Amino acid sequence: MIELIAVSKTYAGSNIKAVDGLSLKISDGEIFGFLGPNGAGKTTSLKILTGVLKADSGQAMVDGTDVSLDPIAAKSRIGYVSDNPEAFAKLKAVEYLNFIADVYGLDSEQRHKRINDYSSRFEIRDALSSSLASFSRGMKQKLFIVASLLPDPQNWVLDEPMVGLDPKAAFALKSIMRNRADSGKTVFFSTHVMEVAERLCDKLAIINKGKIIFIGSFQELKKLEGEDTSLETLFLELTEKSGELAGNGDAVL
Amino acid sequence: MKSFASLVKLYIKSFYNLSPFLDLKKLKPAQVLKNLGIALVALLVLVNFGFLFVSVNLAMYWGLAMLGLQNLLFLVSSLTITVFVFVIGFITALSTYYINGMENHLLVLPLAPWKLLAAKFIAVYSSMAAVSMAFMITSMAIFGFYEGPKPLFYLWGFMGALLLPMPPLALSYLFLVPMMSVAGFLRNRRAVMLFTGVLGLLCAIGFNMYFQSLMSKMADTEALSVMMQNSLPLSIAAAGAYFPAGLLWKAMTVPEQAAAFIQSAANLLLCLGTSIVSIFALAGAYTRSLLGFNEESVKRLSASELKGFLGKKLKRKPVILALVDREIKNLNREPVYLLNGPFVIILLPLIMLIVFLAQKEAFLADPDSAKIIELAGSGFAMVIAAAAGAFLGSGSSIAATALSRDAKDLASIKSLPLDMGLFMFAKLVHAEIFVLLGSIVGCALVSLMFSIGFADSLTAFIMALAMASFINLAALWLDTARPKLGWTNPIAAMKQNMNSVIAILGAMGLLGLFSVAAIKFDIEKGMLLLFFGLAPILASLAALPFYKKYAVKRLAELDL
Ligand SMILES: Nc1ncnc2c1ncn2[C@@H]1O[C@H](COP(=O)(O)OP(=O)(O)OP(=O)(O)O)[C@@H](O)[C@H]1O
Ligand SMILES: [Mg+2]
Repeated sequence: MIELIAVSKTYAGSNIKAVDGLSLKISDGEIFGFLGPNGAGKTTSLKILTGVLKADSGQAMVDGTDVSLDPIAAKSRIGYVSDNPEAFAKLKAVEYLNFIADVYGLDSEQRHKRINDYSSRFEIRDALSSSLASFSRGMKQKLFIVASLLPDPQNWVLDEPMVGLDPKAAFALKSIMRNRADSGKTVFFSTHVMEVAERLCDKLAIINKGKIIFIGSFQELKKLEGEDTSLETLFLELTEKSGELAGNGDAVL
Repeated sequence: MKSFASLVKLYIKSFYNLSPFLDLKKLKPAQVLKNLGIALVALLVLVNFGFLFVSVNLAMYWGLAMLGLQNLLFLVSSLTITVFVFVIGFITALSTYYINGMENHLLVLPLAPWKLLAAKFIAVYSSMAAVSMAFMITSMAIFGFYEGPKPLFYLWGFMGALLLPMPPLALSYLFLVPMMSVAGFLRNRRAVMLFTGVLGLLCAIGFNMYFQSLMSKMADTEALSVMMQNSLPLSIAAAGAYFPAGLLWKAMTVPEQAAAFIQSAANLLLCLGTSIVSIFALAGAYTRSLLGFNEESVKRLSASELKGFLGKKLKRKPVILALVDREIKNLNREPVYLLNGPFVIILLPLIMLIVFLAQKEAFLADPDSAKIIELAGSGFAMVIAAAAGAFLGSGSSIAATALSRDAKDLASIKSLPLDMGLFMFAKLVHAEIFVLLGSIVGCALVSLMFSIGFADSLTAFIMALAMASFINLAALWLDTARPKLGWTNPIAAMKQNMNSVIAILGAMGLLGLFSVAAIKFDIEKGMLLLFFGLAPILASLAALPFYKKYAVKRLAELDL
């Protein structure tokens, strides 16, 4: 379970709120999609949730634990795929995975099994002996996904996980997401791919300029807008509208 | 032509990291302070080189004047400049052959190959010209002071100083471009860094030997002139073979005769000509050699090999060991870090040793030295050993750049369920490994030089360890408080990091104070151990919990 309660964040040296009083709740067993235009505040929100950034105000809760009060307990319940492909470039893939396994305290048997399983599934097992610097963008993305799954986390948080994935890997990712949600785990991911969000997510949040402009299921969104059309169309209309409304500071909720 | 000018500007900016200096108006007070700090350090370096140049020129002048051949000063100094500039130019050209992916972006643009090479040539040339000019100005000032030459003499001198670096630099590229084109294994940043590092080391040692041997004879004009006389035939032969030096020397000897004008004009044509011809001849090959730079070698393992490999690598470690292991790998796999960090522990003692060996005779002959040697028995040498050990131990910059170097990984690290105190502690442990190593090397070296007994060496070693650890913790604290995170080139995290400069200067200051205090007040061994062994260790241990608390808070607040 993930909960953000009235979270706000302004980056040091910036004068705009990257995230502005954002609240959302994701229950166990849910796949939750996080949508919004570039610069809307998705990555910032996810970084606050995973303890990478400190919120100016508000709370981020992971299974009832406040990330800023007990960061280690909260973070050990999260597997996170960041949007930064530059990390750990000096390590070999296997060294990186082993490091992550050490941090999460996996015993040798568990790490063997999970690394073998997931890296075969994403077809990067052959490349595990190579340095991350030699990986393509998609290979890195696959590796980061594998690493985030190593602790078998209750909450899986992914920032634009589809970037660079080939169709087979994208399919594998989507089915792992579904399986995890079905077994009562939480999946929270941001994306720009509307088709994926439309078909995969149990719930969606659309965010613009740091504020939530819609939260609910795709069905609810269609009903609210009174149109039976694609998520893409609705997304474009909604973000357009909220852009105009931003002047008087109201959100369409 | 406009694209060429901005290309030159781009290269020069990225060479010298000039951006903070360029828009002075936009600077905040803290940045002004920082730039003042950098300027101060630059000034220190300049004074250092200035001193070196003046001493060398004086030595050459005195040596030649004894023989009545002072006019040859400019022959010798032009040749010195040429050799100096060739070596530095070659290393700079090599280390900037491919700047961290910048070329990849430039190769995409519709730029003529000659523009790429010429812009880089000019950027490298600019620093060569500065060195050459500085040396020539010192030569001219000394000669001018004693001999009062005609004004035109200075004009030819200035012009020559600007021209002299050109042919050596062109020659460097004449070596480098074919070498890079043929030797594929060299087209790799790691290989280039290692190669330049070793080359730089050898040259630093070579120059040191030459300058030291000149300077050790400073007091003895006879010896200088003998040395000059012995090297004259070689110099004259070199000038005959190498026209730019010969032409410059001749023009400066008879500055007001028509011949001087002709010789200078010929020099201008010759130097500019070789540069331009080389640039155009090499441009195509140069651009082609940039393609495919930085390819990683990837070996795919067979299924059974992979199984063995994974079995060997996937072993559980305690978190602290996993963290230290990561620190070590991250540093050792970046040549820039390796060369400017731990390598210092080897480089500095080597230079010290050379200085000592070169000066040894002069040192032993000096009546004052007898007193020093006598003092050596009474604890003086032990203090020096402790200071040297502590300086080497804290000189690796590992602690002072620990967080800065990690900028790219920090966001990912923060998302892991890791105690950030432990994370920073691993950095301290990594630095402490080199504290241990540096202290051993420094103490052992000085102990051997002065034949210090085992007990005193051990005492020195304990003090070195204690003081270096203390300095290390302070340096780590500094980098935690103000890490340099927004870099694109790892050089910025290490070499151009103010924190490492502050840490080294701070260590020098502290250890200088220590040595002076210990020697001046003639503190006895027990007290020394108490004040400079036990006290720093206790202070470090006491500070550790406070540091941890600070680091956890600081890291939590960092916007990444
Ligand atoms: N390190 C930073 N320093 C200052 N401002 C930042 C920083 N990172 C992001 N911002 C600003 O915060 C706002 C939100 O950015 P964020 O990265 O959260 O957007 P996003 O929704 O993830 O966008 P995208 O879809 O492009 O990934 C933007 O206005 C951005 O300019
Ligand atoms: Mg983002």
